[in-house]
Amino acid sequence: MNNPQTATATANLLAALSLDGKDGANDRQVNGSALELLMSELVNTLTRTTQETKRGSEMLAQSSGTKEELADAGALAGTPKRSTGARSSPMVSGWQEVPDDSELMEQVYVKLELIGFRIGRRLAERFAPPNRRLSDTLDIVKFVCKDIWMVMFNRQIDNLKTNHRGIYVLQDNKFKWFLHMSGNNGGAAAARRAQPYIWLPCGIIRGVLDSFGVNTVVIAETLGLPQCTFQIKVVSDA
Amino acid sequence: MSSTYYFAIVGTNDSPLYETELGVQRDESKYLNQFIVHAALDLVDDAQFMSTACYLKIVDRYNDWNVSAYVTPSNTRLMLLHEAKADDAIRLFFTDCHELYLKTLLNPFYEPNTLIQSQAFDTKVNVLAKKYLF
Repeated sequence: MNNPQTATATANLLAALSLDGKDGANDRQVNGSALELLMSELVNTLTRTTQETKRGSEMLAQSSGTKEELADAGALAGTPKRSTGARSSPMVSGWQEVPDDSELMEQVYVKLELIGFRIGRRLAERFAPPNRRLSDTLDIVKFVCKDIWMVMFNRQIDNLKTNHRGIYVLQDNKFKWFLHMSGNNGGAAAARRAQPYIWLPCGIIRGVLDSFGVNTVVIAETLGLPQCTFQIKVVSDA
Repeated sequence: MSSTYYFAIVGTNDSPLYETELGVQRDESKYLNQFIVHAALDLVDDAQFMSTACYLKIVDRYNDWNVSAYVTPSNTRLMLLHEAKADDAIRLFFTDCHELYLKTLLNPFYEPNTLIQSQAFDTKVNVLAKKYLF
């Protein structure tokens, strides 16, 4: 391997992608809090729109198909109309309690996880070590713990446990997105309300692993804010 | 010695995402290029397990043609058919093409493992080829 050549090539790649740590004058930087706010709002918006879609399709199923009802259901596009009897709450952007409807949350989960999956695939390719390919699953999970977490949250996973048979447990004791959520001193209710916010990182982890060819199922749980645990189960293609 | 090259980006399901012919092309070999690259994919898979580097040099030979390969971390293969041996130039070409591919991936409207149809991508690949291969 011609070392100076590889070194310049890597330097070129990193410089072009603005990854080499030199703050070029052309670099545009975004405040990290903006990302956090976006992510929190993402969950709320998805829940709200899924709720509206669901309510709309239920109304369509029940309605006799008169134009007016269809027009009301057409308010799914997001423009608020005058509340009719069928629509209970006007459009507010916050909600007090996680909607009890588990089917609704199931749909929100699928959407969030899919978004995370797509992000994860691109993140993996973008931030994978440039001249070295990771072959071992444990190496890949470590890459997730260190590099991906560093990129997203500016810190690393606190604890990684594995049973060397395809199960990895990642523990983050100060999960960044939970730090700004008031937890009622870590009550169980707060943990339940925070559930939707970790579905996106689940999807991201699954996307990163998938782009290295490892099929997994990722589950996340939180026992008390701001701690959260991700469990990665490698699904072998049988 | 004619300087013709055939460059292809092959996705994870072994179908080409992008192909281009660089330099002067001889008519009879157009269909053959795809065939050679496809046959070389097996050898790329073998070579992948031999080294952890991304650039696998020449993996296969067919008559006068050499096949060089570069594997990205997410198993997308950049393949180049060439006659001349130019290890370093080809490595630099591959690295820059990888960079271009990353930028394509960062486009949220581009679904990974689908055809790359951007005209700008095509133009840039040709510029890179002129820079490194000719």
